Amino acid sequence: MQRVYANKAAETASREEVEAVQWQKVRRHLEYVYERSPFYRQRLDAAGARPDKVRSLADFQAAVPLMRKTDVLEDLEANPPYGSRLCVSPDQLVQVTMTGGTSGVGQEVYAQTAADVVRATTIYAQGCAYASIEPGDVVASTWPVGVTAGSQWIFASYQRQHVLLLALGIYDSLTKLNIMRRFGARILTATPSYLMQLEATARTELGWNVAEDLPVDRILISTEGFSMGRAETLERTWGAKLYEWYGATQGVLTANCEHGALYEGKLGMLHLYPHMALMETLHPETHEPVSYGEEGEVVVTLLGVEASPLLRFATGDKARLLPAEECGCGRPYDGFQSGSIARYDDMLKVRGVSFWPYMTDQVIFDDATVENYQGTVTTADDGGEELTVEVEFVADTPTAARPKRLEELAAALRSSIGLRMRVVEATRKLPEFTDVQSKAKRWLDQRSR
Amino acid sequence: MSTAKEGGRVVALPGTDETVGALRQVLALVEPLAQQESVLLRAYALTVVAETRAALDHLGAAPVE
Repeated sequence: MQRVYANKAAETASREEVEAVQWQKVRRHLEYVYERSPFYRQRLDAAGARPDKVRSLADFQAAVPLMRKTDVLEDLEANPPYGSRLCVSPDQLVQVTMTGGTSGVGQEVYAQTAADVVRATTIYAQGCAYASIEPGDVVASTWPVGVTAGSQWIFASYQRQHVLLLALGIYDSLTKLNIMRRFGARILTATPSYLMQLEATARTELGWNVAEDLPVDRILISTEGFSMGRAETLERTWGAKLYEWYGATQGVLTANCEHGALYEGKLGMLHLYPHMALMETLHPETHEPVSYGEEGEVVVTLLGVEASPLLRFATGDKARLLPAEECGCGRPYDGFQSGSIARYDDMLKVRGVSFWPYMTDQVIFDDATVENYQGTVTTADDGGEELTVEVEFVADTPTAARPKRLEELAAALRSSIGLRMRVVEATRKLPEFTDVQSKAKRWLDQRSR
Repeated sequence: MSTAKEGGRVVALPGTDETVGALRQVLALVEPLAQQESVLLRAYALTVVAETRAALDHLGAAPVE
């Protein structure tokens, strides 16, 4: 596979050289926010972490407190509309990004200068370069553009890359498919759930086999965890190679290299860019760094951000940390295992067993007869916890074969997750995730508390 | 190829001294243009300034050290 350089100086440097640059950027970043933001000055003074006291990365990690969504929301409440984190004058701002508010806690607000936007869109473009996206390519983006970060940055990034961008976000699935075929889109960007929805629409409403009837050969996915089985199914169904990227409202953070989300029979790696961000992976309770191979909470300090910088922001996302050598591409960047990123607050703990929805996705969507499903956790009359999975079959699944499929799914779920689940055929139309920006919510927690 | 240094301190990624120097010169030239009266020319200059600042950041360098 041909090596692609997005930033040759960084990709061919030694780990020590990149880490030396990282520390200098951390130092500058700390001085910058201390000088310009009352929010950070107060926090750093309170923690005894004034820039002149922080002389190494270890000092930084030991002294600078973690910040969380609640810190950002409280600051916004007290200092609307940008918070006292803002480090530039408002007339330098060119963009505002907001979280979706799906947590129900509140919407974070981040402001960007023009250089911040260039920075974010260029980091996204780095992942695109690794996916061999080049000027002249036709790219279909299914992200509707609004005030969310991803939608704005993806749109702006493709414009910077001089590709022919089909911005299809506002159209229904049928229209998206027709426009993709009309203009010969070879690259598609979507969530894994929306890819399934789009494929189902192509099959049932247009009679298309997307692997044969569309020229798509690369797909960029994000926002949902996935297993190797699910990624293999998506690659096979679409006849395309998957590349994952990971970002948040706080910034675009990582992407696969040219190896993609699946490589030589295993999940790929989302490479970290140490010269652009300090990314820590910490145990969610002890806040100690996890070892390679372990999962932990992603904590980000994006370096060089001008308007709404963050220091050690605990994202609430979990990821499995891997060493650079695990990938074999030769870049000096550690990374996260592809598919391993999920929200800690999406985790369900039932009868003492923890699982994430992407784990049940893996088992259930491995069955090609399943179109959709909905899981529900409830409290039984005796106070115990019950799991029910309603399954919607693909229309041409023979009725006589369905009871056996349900039994097999229940057995597979028990074997894979370690929990007994009641698996039944849905007697209603299950929710579809037709809006690419809405993260698929296939599990409902209706336990009485 | 060695790590770019100024006053003994690491300031940018290895082998990028000349590029960083050139980008800083661009910034010094264009930043004053971003103040001018003509709105459209100011917009072009602001774009160059933003791109240049971001490029320096990608090379691990500050706009001015």
